Amino acid sequence: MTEELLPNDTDSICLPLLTIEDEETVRKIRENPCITLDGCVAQCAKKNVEHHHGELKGSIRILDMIKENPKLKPGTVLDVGPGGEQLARKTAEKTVKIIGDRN
Amino acid sequence: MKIKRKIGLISCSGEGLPEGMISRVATRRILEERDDVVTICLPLFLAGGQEERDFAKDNPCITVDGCDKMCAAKGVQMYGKVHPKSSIVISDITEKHKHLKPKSKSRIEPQDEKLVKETMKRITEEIDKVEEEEE
Repeated sequence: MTEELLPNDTDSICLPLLTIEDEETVRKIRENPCITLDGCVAQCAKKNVEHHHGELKGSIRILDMIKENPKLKPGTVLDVGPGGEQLARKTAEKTVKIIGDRN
Repeated sequence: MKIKRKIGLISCSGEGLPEGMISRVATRRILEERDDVVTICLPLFLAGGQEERDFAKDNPCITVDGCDKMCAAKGVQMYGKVHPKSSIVISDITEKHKHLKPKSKSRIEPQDEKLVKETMKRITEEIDKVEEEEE
């Protein structure tokens, strides 16, 4: 998303910066619309944004993406493999759609 | 009999900068090589329950951070109320070895392998020191 698809319109922040309550990062998520992408059921990204009253406009759970795309199997943590790469692209496309619906 | 505690390796997840990618990959590789280390996702300190918050109290921790904001080290202090036993910062390494500076936030390029290996070497050295202290 931020490097290839919409480099001028999107940016990513380090989630741990929110976890440690970094002032600049907390301000950023309050002043800009946010979309969270979570890898597991704990939904840390969404919970961290909500906890700091960020402007949450959408959230994607990768587990839902896997359910929606059963043929795309991610590989390992270190190497997501071709299935994981495709899943990442589909997730990026879904994120673009959320951004498009907002505009 | 004294039960040997596992060493906690806590990495910054680094979505915002290439050095974070290096810290995450180096930490993960160590975790897959050794059985005397454990980890926790850093954001779980806030999003998880008491068990997650107690992780840093229950395990001597080594933090691996991408930049000098040192989220992992600060997270351990903030939520675990303890200091990490040791802290490694990738940007300190690239400051001294500028040719190793990574560029991609989303993947490890072949030229980043040297930095990953250097980071793994430092993590291993710190694990050995902490294990000596624990004995």
